[in-house]
Amino acid sequence: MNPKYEPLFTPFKIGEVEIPNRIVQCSMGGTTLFGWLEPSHFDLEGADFLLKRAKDGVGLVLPGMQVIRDTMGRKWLDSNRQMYRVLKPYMEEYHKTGGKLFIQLAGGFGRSMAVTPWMAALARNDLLNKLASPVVDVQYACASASATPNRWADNLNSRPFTIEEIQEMVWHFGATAKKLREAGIDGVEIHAVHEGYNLDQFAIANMNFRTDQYGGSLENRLRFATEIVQEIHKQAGDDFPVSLRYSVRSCTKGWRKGAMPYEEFEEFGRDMEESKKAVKILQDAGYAFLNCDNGTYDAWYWAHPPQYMPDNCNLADVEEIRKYIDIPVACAGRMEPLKAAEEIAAGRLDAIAIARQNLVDEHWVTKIKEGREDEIRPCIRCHNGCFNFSKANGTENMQALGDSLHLARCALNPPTMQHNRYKIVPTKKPKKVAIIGGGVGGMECALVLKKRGHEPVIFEKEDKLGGLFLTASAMTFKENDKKLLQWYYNEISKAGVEVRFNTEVNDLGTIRRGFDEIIVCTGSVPRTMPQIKGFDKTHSFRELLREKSVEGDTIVFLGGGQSSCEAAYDLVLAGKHPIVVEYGNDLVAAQATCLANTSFLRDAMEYHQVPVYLHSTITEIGDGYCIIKTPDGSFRQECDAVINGIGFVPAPVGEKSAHVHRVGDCVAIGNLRTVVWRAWDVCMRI
Amino acid sequence: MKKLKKLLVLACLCCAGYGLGMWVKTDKARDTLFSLLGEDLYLAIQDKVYLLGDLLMWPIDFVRALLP
Repeated sequence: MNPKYEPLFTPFKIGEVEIPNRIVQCSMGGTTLFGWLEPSHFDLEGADFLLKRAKDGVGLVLPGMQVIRDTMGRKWLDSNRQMYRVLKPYMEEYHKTGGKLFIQLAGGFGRSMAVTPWMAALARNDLLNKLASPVVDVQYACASASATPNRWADNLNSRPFTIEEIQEMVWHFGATAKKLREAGIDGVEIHAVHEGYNLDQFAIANMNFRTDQYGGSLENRLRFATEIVQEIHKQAGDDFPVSLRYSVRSCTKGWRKGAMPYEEFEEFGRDMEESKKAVKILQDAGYAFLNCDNGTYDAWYWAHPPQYMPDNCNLADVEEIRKYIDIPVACAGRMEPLKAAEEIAAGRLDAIAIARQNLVDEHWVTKIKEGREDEIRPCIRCHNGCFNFSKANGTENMQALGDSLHLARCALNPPTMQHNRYKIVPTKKPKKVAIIGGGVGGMECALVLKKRGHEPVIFEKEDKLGGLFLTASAMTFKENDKKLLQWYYNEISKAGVEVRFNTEVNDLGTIRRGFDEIIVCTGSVPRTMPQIKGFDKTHSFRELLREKSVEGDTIVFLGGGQSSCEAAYDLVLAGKHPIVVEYGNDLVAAQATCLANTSFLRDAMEYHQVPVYLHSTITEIGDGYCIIKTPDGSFRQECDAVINGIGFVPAPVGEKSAHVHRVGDCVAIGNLRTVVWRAWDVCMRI
Repeated sequence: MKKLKKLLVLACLCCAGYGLGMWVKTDKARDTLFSLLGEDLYLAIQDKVYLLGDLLMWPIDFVRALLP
């Protein structure tokens, strides 16, 4: 092991519980032991995943957040005796790894509840909500400190909790903690003064207008959180450690408005000055550990940083707050293990909290210990498989129901949280397989086939593997995408996959002989709109980003999807002046892309004053100009180039047949998740 | 007696639904559907098949989880 990592592998204490190392797996919705939002039960898939993480060497695992009262069925978490009976032997098995496990308990979402259209309809109608309440009481699920606007649905306010409801909930936190302790759980974490969840809505002055003992002064606003820890100690014992998930700063400018990492702004939520006082109150109340980051649902990209956020984005704030308390502190948010080790060694931090890297590589801790860091598959923070809650202007949460039921899967690692569905089974009949196209889909196919015992050969028309992902990863802030490509190169080379570069295959007949199966992974080509006058003057993303052959300062994007907005942001960072023209009513209005990612891009466009024309299109492109048609009329825009951002169309080669398969964008335009998962779907059956 | 029969039919339907829900998620079901429907069609509807499995199992899981 690189000795610089050694500080990560030293023990530390939370209360009286010794954690074997400084690596904390942050809670991720879906990786739960008791089910995600449905009636609580012992969740076998979650249990399998968490045990594997402990076996890899994570010191403290925090399973996905568990709401103290089930959203579906409304049962209290302490009421399912069978669940705790099954938990006990599981924890005995778990403790053989030497790792520790704290359950994260939450008081619900409040105004942050990611309501879908049908949930919003229930919440807006008292009678419907009452009728549905034995199954789901959306008004209760959205209840908050005060009547505040929902993050997801327009014209939907939370109803305030009654004092009786708060006190009932506080008691159940204690009762649940007691049962968890009896079942062998090492501690609990309260998902509280964090990320704009329910208890945070009590803590933030602009979200809490109460005049009773739970509103007003900072002490009153933190009363809910302090009563919880006191009740837990009362029922489960003073020595039962209670961690607190804590956002140091809200980084929020207003309802649904986040602040850029480099922005000076007036804080709408909790600022550093209030935070310094809050942590002292919370420590004095009995919390034994602070698991910190920044953000709220309104500034979601701080708590769930996409690739546009800087590495270690919350570290400075977390280290600052640590000066005001004596209990250990962990920091989450694009944390680099080496940087964390440095900070721990210097005494500025106690632990590193890592979330989604645990989904993408189930052996990353072992690989660090064994000095094989270059073998770690990096998380690219796409949130496509694990966390694709999505929203655009005027919509509620657009996430597909199948994804809502199965969070915390991984776009790049299909077996994560679905190990019975995606698995490597060695083949009994090894075959020679030709893979046409060496993009991510082709490389993933080759790796899966090789692991199963087949003999894949990749035919790549260029002198480099990567395909369309070479363009997608070319932007300055896509460092992890570049690392992912390098990871593929290393794995392909290590696996001994034969790659024939500079070999374009246009006719499958030429390679049919000599191969048992053919997989076509030829990707897509840009969509065209010849009806736009001068469309042939547009440039492609490849020319702009990879070849860097588009010159000039003012670049107009035809289409406001994710590719356009990312490229526009890249130009902004380079000091250029992009303009985005989008036909729809919002930027990046895609069902599969997480709000943490899309809201960053939208907020960034606004902050950098990028001209964005919605409900608009381009009607003519000429030399040095284009005509933009908006609802208010058309105008001539001087520009240096127009980028074709209206999308892509599949570009398969050859005809489909029994032994010819297709993977990736050449089937249908998707994202890395659809490419990688289909690669597995096809290659598991060859 | 009639009510009992109705309850029995309902229970049988629920069990059959639960069984079907569990089955569609197995390797055997996947391979069967894959060979019956072909690669393209099966992979196009695969997520919906899994969702159907979830939804068929959901009522019984819901009731089971509500039991103490």
